[in-house]
Amino acid sequence: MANNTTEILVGNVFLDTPFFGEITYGNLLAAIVIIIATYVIAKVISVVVMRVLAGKVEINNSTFLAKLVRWGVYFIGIVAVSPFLHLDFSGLMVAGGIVAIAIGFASQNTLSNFVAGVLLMFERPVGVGDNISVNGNEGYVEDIGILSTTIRTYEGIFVRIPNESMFSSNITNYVAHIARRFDFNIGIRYSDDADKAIKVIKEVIEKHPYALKSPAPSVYVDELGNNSINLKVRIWSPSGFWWDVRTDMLWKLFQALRKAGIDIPFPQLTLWYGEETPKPPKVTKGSGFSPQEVLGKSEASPENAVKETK
Amino acid sequence: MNMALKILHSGGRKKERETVTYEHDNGSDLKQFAYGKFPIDYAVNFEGLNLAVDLDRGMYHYRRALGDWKTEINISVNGGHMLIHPVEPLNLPDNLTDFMEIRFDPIKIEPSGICVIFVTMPIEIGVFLESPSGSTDIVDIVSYVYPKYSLYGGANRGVVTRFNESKVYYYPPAMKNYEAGLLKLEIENRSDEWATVGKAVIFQKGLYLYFDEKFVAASAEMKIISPDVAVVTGVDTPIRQGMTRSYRLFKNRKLSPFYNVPGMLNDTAYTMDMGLI
Repeated sequence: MANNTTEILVGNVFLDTPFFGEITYGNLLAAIVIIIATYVIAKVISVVVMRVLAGKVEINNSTFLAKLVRWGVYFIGIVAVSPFLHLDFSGLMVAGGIVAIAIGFASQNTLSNFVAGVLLMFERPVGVGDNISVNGNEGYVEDIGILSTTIRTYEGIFVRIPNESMFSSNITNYVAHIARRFDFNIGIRYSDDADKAIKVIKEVIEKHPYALKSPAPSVYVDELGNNSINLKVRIWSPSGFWWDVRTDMLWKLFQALRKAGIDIPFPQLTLWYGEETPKPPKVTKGSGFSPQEVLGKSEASPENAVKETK
Repeated sequence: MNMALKILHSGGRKKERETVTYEHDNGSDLKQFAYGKFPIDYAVNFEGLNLAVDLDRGMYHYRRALGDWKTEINISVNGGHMLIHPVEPLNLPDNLTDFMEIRFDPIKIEPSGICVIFVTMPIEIGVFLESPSGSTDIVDIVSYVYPKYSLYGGANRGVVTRFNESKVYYYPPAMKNYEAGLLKLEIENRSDEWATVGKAVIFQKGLYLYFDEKFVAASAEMKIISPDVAVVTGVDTPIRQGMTRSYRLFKNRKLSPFYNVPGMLNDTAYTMDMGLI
């Protein structure tokens, strides 16, 4: 027991022995431990940052952030070690603080863009390649940078959006979900059989590979309009293909309905004056449609309407 | 050749063994497609599919037609072989998904019960070229089956799947090996409740296709954890002896690592946690 006490005392004496100026061996030892710990912690944290951001942000940005975090840890380590080495940074701190405030005022927007960029990287409302709409700009995300996000519009135009603006704006990401729905409104004549039209439409949808089987497409009579029976067609498609499916499907639906003898009527207004005998409607030259096609059976035979008037 | 198959029979924890006879072996006269490894200038004329490789002034020309669907490719290779193998039906018209979904008539399975069923799945035909050095690459993929896709789960966290409907068979039925393959599915209910299963979702890497002169087949296991959750794992085993393993197409595709695919436990096991019917 006595020997142990002696050893500890001897140890303490050694640690208190001056090494250089006021710096003792104990101070030196503590400084070395802190420096090594700082180095290790900085290394580990930067690796963690790189791994967390891997696949989420561009490699350049994740490397930059990792370096930033590493130098931040180094700075904390230097501040922590300074008392042991009897380094007085207070003057430097004051000067640095003033410079920092000046720089802060001068680069307020830049800093807010930077912070917004970091937050966007973690929140990830959009990813590179996504099809988005933000602030009236629609297109594909080309790059998510530290300060700004770049978009390539559908017309191929380069648009740079500051991250602060991105962060505070409503973002619509059209492909964030794996599938999406789109609708068609199709009007058919009152003389047409809506059940038959629905069957024809469903057959066309069934044949399209990217019109998803589940969620099942929905086709129904949505409205009895002024000029047509309005059918609502709702189709789910993989998000990356929905526009192709939509453009492809609309024409196929029209063709299939025409083939089945079902047509899409033009808006029309038939006027009857008093007891005037109804005249068969005339078709504009070159329309290519017969009166039956344009007006449908019920409109071409308005006797019922006349009787109701009487 | 002994065409019998030992399968695990339905009914509780006890696994009985039963001999199953293939419908093909009882005199089915279905015309079957010849898969395999052929000389590079091999030609196919089968059920509307015309395929040939011609050598013209040192350059090979690959030509294929199935109805109006035609492809021509120039190939520079110094000899080699043509491989025509069945491939997983996940390539046409585009590499949209890595999952295949098979829906079948729902089956109720007792707690701790096991059953083996056979369902059909669509097949695509892959044409590969193997250079004299042994390097293989896909040249063309063709299919007699029109593709259809679906969504398993919700739009927010589900997966797009290649969709197929099938009857449930308790024996391997006869089928056209150029249109459909067999999937032997061993379903085990590990939960303490009755479960109803009407679909299976399988990841591409878990589809180990094997073929012989009459069948294209794969195997999978479905372990039901709760009445709404099951893990489906592909099994790298032929359903009978003497089958050849198909060339694996996923090597030519850039598949996401399994840990980036929601629901994947490893390269071949997918967790169906969005319903089993």
